[in-house]
Amino acid sequence: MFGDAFYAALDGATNAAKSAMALIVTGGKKLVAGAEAVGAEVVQDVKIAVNAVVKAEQWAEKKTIEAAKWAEKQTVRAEKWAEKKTIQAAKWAEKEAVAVAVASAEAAVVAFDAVKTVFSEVVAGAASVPCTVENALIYDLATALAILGRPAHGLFPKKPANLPHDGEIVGAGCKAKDPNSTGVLPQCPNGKPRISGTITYVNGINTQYPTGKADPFDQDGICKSMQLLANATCAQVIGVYNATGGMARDLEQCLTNIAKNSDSGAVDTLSRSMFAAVSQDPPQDMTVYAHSQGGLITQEALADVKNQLVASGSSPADAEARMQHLSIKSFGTAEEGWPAGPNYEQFTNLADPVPGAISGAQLGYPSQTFSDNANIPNADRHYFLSPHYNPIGPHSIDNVYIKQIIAEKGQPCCCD
Amino acid sequence: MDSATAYKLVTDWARVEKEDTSGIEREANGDFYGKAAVLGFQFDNARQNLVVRGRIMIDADKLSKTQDMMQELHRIAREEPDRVVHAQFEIVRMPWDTGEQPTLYLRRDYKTSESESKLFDEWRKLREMAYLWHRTYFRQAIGPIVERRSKAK
Repeated sequence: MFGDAFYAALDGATNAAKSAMALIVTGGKKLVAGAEAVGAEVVQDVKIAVNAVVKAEQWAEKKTIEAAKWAEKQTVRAEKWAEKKTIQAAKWAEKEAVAVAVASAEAAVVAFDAVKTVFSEVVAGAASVPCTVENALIYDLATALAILGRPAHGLFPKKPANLPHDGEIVGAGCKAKDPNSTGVLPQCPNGKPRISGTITYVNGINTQYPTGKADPFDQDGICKSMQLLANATCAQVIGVYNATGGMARDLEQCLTNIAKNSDSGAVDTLSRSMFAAVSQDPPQDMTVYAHSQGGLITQEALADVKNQLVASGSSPADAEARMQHLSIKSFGTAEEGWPAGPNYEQFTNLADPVPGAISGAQLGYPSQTFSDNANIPNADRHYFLSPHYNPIGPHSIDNVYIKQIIAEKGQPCCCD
Repeated sequence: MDSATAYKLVTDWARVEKEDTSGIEREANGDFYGKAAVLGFQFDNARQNLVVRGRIMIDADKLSKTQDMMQELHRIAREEPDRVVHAQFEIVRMPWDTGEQPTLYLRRDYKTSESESKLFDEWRKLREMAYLWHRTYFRQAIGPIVERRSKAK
C-alpha cells in the first residue's frame, strides 16, 4: 500500500518532530524564567493558539473519520493507518503547543514553525488521506500561528469542578473497589493466577475509565493498563483513577501540579492509602506505579504523607525512614521533584517528549521542585530508546513502558 | 465589602487564572463558598468578610490534638509574618474537603475592597506560600518540636 517514498517522508516527519521537541525543551529551559516576566498576556496568546490547534484536532478527527470511511472502500489497512496517524499527529501538535506555553513567546514561534513543518511533512507523506483533511490541518495550524500575534481573549477549555470518579479506587471487573473485592489479577487460561504482591497504579493524562462497559479491559483506559501490568508483574493491581477532562484540560492540570499544588481527588486518595501503610507499626510495604501526570500526583501525595507523619509525632528523619517502605516506580514523567524517603525506580523512554516537557516546566518553579528532592541513584534511572512513527507513541504505558518492564525484568509465570 | 463586590472579585480571579466558578456555591442570604484556581473562598455576608484559604495538609485533626505544634505555627504567623505572606494558620473542615477530618490552611481575611491587581497578587503569593509549606516549610517548622519531645521522654 505504501511505498518507500512514503516511509521516507514519514521518517522525515519523525525526525522533524524530534527536532521540534529538542527546540522546545532547550528553548523552554533557557527562557522559562523570561516567560514569566513576559507575563500572562504572552502565555494567553500562546494558549489561544493551542485552542485553535485543539479545534483543528477536533475538526481533523471528524474529517479523518470521514476519510477513513472513504478509505475503507479502498482498503481496510489504509483506513486504520490514516485515522490513527492523523489523530495522533493532531494530538501531538496540541501537546507541543502546551509545552511551549510554559516557555516563551519566542520559543512558541520556533516550536509552531517546527510543528507546521512536521505537519507538512506528515501530511505530504500521507498520500492516502484525502486532500481535504491535509488542507484543513494546514489551514487551522496557520490560523493558530496567526492568532499568536493577536490580543489575548481565549482560554483553555474550562475545567469541570467535579469530574466523575476522580480519585476513585478501581478494582476487579473495572469497578470501584470495595473492601471485599480484589484488584485486577493476572489472566490465566486455567483461572488460577499465582499472585505476587500488590501494585497501586496511578494513571496519566487523557485516560478513560470505561466502567460499566461490556468489556472494559479491551478498551484503552486505566483498566486495560491495570490488566497489562498485572500480566507483566503477576501482581494484583489496584487503580487510583486520575479523571480526565480531555487532553487540553489534563495538560492544564498537569502544569498546575507543577506550579501551584493541585489538590485533586487522586492526590487525596493516594496520600491516604500510603499514610495508612507507613503509619502502621511496623510500617507496611506499598508499591506504586505512576505514569505521566500520575507521577506528579504521586509527588504531591508523598509530600502530604511526610507532613502527616511529622504531624503524628515522627521526626523528619523517622518519617523518611518509614517512607522507605514505599516503592515508587515512575514511567514517562518527572525525573526530579520526588520527596526524599521512598525507594524510586524511573523508566524514561528517550523518544518520549513528556519527561523533557515536564523538566522544562519544573525549572520555572525551582523552590517547589528542588526543596525536597530525593537523590535517585543512576542505577535506578532506566533510560531506553523506543521510537515510534507517531510522535506521542513513545509515551504509551501500554505499548512502551509495560513492554519495557518485561524486557528488563523478564516475563514471570503468573499461573499455577 | 458587600456580597456582589466579593463575588465579582472571585469570578474575576477565576477568569484571569483561566478557570471557571463552577466550584463556587451562592446562597440566598448573600453568602458564598467554594474553590477557584486552587484557592478556597468563603464570604460571610452578615460580617461582610471574605476569607481566602490555601491548603497545606489534609487530615489535620492530629494537629489540633497537640498544643505545641499549633502554638509554634501561630507564633510564626505572629512574629514572622513574611514567612506566611501575612496569613494565619487555621484548621477547619470546608465543604470541598474530601475527607472527614479538617484541613490545615493558610488564611487571609478581607473586609474592604482593594484594587484587583493588588488583591490577585496577594492571592497568588498566598497560593504559592501554602504550596511551599505543603512541600517543605511545614516539616522544617514542626520537626524541631518533635525532636524536643522525643528528647524530653
